[in-house]
Order: sequence, then C-alpha cells, then structure tokens
Amino acid sequence: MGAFAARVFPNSYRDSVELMQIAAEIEGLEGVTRAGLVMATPANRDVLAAAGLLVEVATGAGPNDLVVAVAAEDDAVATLAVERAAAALAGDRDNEPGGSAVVSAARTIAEAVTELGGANLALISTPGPYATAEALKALKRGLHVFLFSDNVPIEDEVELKALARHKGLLVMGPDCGTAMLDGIPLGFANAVRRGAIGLVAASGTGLQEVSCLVHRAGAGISQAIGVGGRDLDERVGGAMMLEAIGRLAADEATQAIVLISKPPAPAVADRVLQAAAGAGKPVVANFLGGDPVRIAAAGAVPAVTFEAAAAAAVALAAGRSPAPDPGLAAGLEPALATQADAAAARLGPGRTRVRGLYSGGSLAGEAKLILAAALGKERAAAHEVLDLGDDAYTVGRPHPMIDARLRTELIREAVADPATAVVLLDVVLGHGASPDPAGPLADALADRGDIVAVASVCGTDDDPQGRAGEEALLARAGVLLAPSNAQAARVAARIAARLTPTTTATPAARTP
Amino acid sequence: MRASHAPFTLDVTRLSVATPYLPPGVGARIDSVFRAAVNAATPAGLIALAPERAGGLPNGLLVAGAPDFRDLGLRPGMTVIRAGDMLRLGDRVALRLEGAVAWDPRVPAVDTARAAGSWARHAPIARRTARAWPVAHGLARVPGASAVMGALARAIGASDRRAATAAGRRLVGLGPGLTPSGDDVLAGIEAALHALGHPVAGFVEDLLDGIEGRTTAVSAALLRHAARGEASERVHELLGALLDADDVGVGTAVERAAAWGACSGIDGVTGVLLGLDAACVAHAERGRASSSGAAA
Repeated sequence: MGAFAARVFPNSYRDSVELMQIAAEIEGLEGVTRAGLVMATPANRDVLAAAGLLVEVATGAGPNDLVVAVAAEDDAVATLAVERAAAALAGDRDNEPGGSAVVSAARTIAEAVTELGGANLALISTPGPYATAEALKALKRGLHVFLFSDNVPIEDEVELKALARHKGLLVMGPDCGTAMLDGIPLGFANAVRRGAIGLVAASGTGLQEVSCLVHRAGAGISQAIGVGGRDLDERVGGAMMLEAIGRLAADEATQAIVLISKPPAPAVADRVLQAAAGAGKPVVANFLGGDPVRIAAAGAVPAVTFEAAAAAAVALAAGRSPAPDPGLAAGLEPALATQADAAAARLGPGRTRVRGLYSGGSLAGEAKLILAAALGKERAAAHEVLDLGDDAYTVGRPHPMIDARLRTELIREAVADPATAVVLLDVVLGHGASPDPAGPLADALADRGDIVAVASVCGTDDDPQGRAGEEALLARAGVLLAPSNAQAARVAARIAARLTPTTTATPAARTP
Repeated sequence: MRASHAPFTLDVTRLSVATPYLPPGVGARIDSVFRAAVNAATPAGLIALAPERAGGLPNGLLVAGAPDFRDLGLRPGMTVIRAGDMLRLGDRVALRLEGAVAWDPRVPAVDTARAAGSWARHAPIARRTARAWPVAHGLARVPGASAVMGALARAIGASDRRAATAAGRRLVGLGPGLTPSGDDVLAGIEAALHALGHPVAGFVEDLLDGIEGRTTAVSAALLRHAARGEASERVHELLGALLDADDVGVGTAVERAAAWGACSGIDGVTGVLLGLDAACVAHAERGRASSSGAAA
C-alpha cells in the first residue's frame, strides 16, 4: 500500500523552469513513485485526484496556490519528499545559467580570508567546544565575529570579548541568532528597509520584532547588532553593547539607537546607560521587565514592550518626540478588543487556561510580562507561556523557528485539553526560518472547537515567506491576528481576564 | 514624486499598446517577481515587466539592459504607482516611460490562401523541429489531454465554435507551470486562428467568464489577450516564418519560440501548429468543396 503526502504553498508563484526541476529531483528520490508540483487549478486538482494524489490538505487550494503532491512507498519517504520540495522552493534558485559566480567552499578561516580578500567578518557555527578557537583565529586576523554557536563557556566569552574590545572588533554572540550589518542579514533576520535606526540587542527575536515593526511603520534600520544573551551579565560587563553603542554613535546614517535586552546586572546597566547618554543621539532602552524610571533618569527613553520601542525609535529618528509608552497592560484597538470579546463569549465552561507556545524566547518573555501586568502575578501563574527555543527543548532537534514538529505536537495536546481557552503563538518569518512557518501551525489548529487561537507574525512582506501570505493562511484557519506580539499577548490577557479560573495553582512542570 | 527617490531607475524601451492602462495616482501591487519578469496587478488587469531580450509581451513593458528584478529588491505586495512619465515600484525601482516605443501585439492577418500554401510546405520541418525539442509539451503526460486536443482540432476544422469552446474549457488551467500548459496551447491556437482570420478565432472569449477561479492570475491575463488575438513577439515571429512565402528560418523560429520558460514555449508552439493544421485542413476542404461545386 503506497503513501501520499502534499503541501500547499498559498499564492506561490515560481517559474516553470524551477517547478519542473524540483519535480524531476523529487521524482528521482528513492521510494518516490510519482510527484507533482502544479498550480492548484480545478483542472489540475482533477488530474491529481484521478492519480490518487489529491491529499486532503490540497482540496481547498485555489488556482494561485502551488501544490506539491507525492506518492511514495511509505509515509516517511512521502513526507521527506515533500520536505525536500519545500526546501528547494525556499532556496533562491538561479534559473539563468552563468548568472551567478561560483565560490568554492573554503575549509579554514585562513583559506576563506585568502580566497575572498577584503573579508571583514567570520560567521562561526561550529559546535560550542570548537567555537572559541575558531573565534580567536578570526579575531587575530582582524575579523569581526558572528558567533552562532551555543554552549560556549562564559569564561571564553569574557576572553573573546576582551580581545575584541582591544582590537576594536565586534564579537556578536555566543548564541547570537541575528544581526543585519550594512543591510546584510546574518542568522535569523528579516528583510527590512535600510534607514536611520540602529539596534543593539542581547535578544534575538526582540531585535527581529523591533526591526519588523520599524519597517512596517515606514522607517528603516541602519545596523542591527546582536551581542548574545549573556553580554549584559556582570561577568561580561556589556562589553559588546558598549562597543556597539560607540559604533552607532559614530555612524552618520544612524539617527536613533535602540537597546534591547533583559534587565542587565545593575552595575552593567549603569555603564550601558552612561554610554547611551554620551552617544549624542536619542537612545531608547527596552530592558524587558526593567525599571523605566531608572532608564529615564539616565536620559534614555524607556520602552516596556518591543512595540513601544519601535514606535519611540521611529518618532525620534524623524525628529519628533515619542508618544508616551502605553505600558504593559495598555488597552487594545477597539476592533481587536471586539474580536477578543466575541471569541471569549463563545468559550465553553471549563476553558480557563492560556497556553502560550513560543518559538522566540524574547517574545515569550514579553508575553509573560504582559499577562502578569494585566492579570496580576497570582492569576497569571495559572496560565502557561513556553519558550520552545530554550536549550531544554532543542536538544537533538532543530530550533522551532526551523522545525515546527514539537510546537505542533504541543498545540494538538493543548487542543485536546478541556481546560485550554487560548492558544497564543508567535510566527517568526525571515531568512533562516522555516519556508512556511504558519502552515503546520494552521493544520494543527484545525478542529479546535471553541478554543481561541491568537497569533502575531514577526516579519515583513519582503521576507522570503511573505507576511501577507502567512497571515492569510492563519486567518483562513480562524486565528485571531494581532499586529504585534505585545498586542497578541494583550488579546490573550483580555480573554483570560473574563475567565473564571478553576485553579490558581502553578501548572504542572513540563518535561520538554 | 521623482525618480531620484528610488535607488534604481530603468528605461522602458517598448510598451505594448494593449497594456492595461494605469491612471496616475491609482495604486497597483506587484503580484509576482522572477529574476527576469515582474507581474503587477492593476484594476484594469495584469501588467508584465521584462527585459528587452524577452521580446514584446501583450500586456508588457520591456526595459533596457538585463536587470535581475529579485536582486533589485522587488517583492510581491509592493505598490506600483504611476506619476507622470514614471512608474514607481515600491521604494526600489522607478521606470522611465519617456522614450518608450509603442508595440502592437495583435497578430497581423495574412492572406489565407497564400498562408495555407506556405504552411503546407513548412509544416513537416516545423513538426519535426517541435518533436525534436528536448522537452515535451506539458500536456504530453496529462491523461486524456491528447483526446481533448484532438476534439478541439476537429471543432476548428468544422468551424464549430461551440464545440471548440467545449473542448477548450477542458484545457483551461490544465498542466504544469505558472501558466498551465493547457492555457499556453489555447493561446497558441488563438494566435494561429487570428492570423488566418478563421471563423472560430476568438473562441477563448467564451471561456473567460469566471476564468480567475479556473487558472492562475498570470495565465488568466494572457488568455484575455489571446482571445483578442494579442500574442507575444516570439509567437509573431513564429507565425511570420511559418506563413511566409520565404522558405528559410522555419526551424530556427520554432526553436526560438520553444525556448521560453520550461514548457510554456513548446506548449505555445504546439498550440500554433495545432491551430494552423486544423484551420488549413478546413481551408483546403472548403477550397475542394467550392472547386467541386464550381465543376458541378
């Protein structure tokens, strides 16, 4: 008995050459008996149906949607073939032979420097134990370092950053997920407009959310520098945030600076805010959960959410005074509030819990703060917001921004739980992220009954996945869409505030 | 709004006279972006943008040079606005319309009797060249498609527009590609029928009601043009070579037309050849009938 798998790529226009190449590749995989990559016109759906390839997921696709359908010897091969096709579609194939330069892969940093000439940055993504040695080699050759690797001891981080400061270089990381330097995205990054706002972040998805919100407000990013989550730890001392502030202060294209982090160690916060005050440019500080009064006293503009940070930076870069930060528990736009109330009114009895299932750690952190501010800490404790990108969940499997399987499993678990009232999600687009982050989530949310699904899409229409298409997919699945993570969390909080908790006990500990 | 706001300015060299009109200030959106083509959805229809080497397109503007539209930063969803002699594509590209030459995509009508004679001489080499093309037309692997194409050819031969429409309906949106092969075949047939002034020419018009639900937006736009006898420059060149009294360049013209996209080119060639065959057979039969009638 054969197996079938299919996936729909909404509003996906690929040229015929690319589709035929991918179809040929997929049909060449061992165990694949037939593959089709066609636009889901009624005529083509009929052909797929007659060939037994019209898997349920593709029945609702329209003529401007691309459907990948595979028949194979077993489920594993069929699923793998569809994944291969999705990966090939996510790649930017050059269909004009001879149009691109071919660069051979260097095996060492020294070889790469020799081959490229003029290289000034090394991106290091080796396993943690080897990363320090490679980073040292790069620094000694005068290269900035983007250190994607995690599990680098903090002592090594201190040493690397001290050397970098001495040489006037940047070490972005370790465990640095994102940066945009001179418009070039590194790691997970969104396609955003270039502009006058410089970002320095010890938070990956925080940087992504702010950069996307800046883009959507019509402004742009001069540089976005990730520094790694431990940079503002007392031992590291904010070494790279200080270096980055200095660089953005000297950068003529940067008119306003945004600092993004969890609350730094107090001594480090003082040093960072002192450097910010000396930058000669307006600085917005978003120390998630930090003390806004202390930030304002140091002369920076405090912002308690990523959304407020983006709005303040856009105003300052344009020479305007920022509007007052509405705070964590700000109200919702009337239309969103109406939708939230209508959804809450449909919830059956016994549905009491918000289940936040996040791929972005900083976005999860922001959601927790907003729930706590809106509901009070005790009531907020009855709800659950998980950061599925945390090391505890990613051992032996890809990050949830790349592979949705863990999150879809947990969504299905939440849907099956009679206590679940709200499933709260982030959907992160951009370079490096899954080619279709919303698709598997929408599938997992099917048949959820009266449970409310709330999400925000961190991305732009210029991202490879396209924000509009991903939002449309979620909207078709009945997901309540908010324009930012902060507002999505406020929607969840508003619904939660109307529920009568059956218990205020801390949720059971979860084993990833 | 001035071009200098966008980082890239391109000169439009040719503009199809059938390009949907975009009034100044009316917004349109980029619908799809490829390295060598951009489609923009306007209230009046889809506008295509391509480099000069693509040749004239019925709904298109050609630009000088060989720009890579993806590398220029164009993305679906960006706004397209006309301001005076400029078209702005998002904040990335400004197109200068001043100096563009108008191009007429309507297939010129030929003298039917002479064209039928030319086709009779050129058909064998055209068919051989098309069969030898490395890619088969996109309907070759679609079960039942050849029977539908046969029914369509018979309907054209019988000058039966209703039967042609019925068969044509089964080809809409059928097969691989962003412009599904069935649509490319239909567009090729229409070009041939318009060139010959055949009574069934324009039958695709009868298929356009609700077309957006049955094929892709890009393909629907091309079928609208095809129904009016508007075709790409490659198809003009092909028809010119096939129906011209001169016997040179037939094979080259088939190959040039076939070399468009993965299978769109060979699909279009297949349609042109099918249309010419069916229409010329009918012409010859009419000729025989009238001769025998005269003899009688």
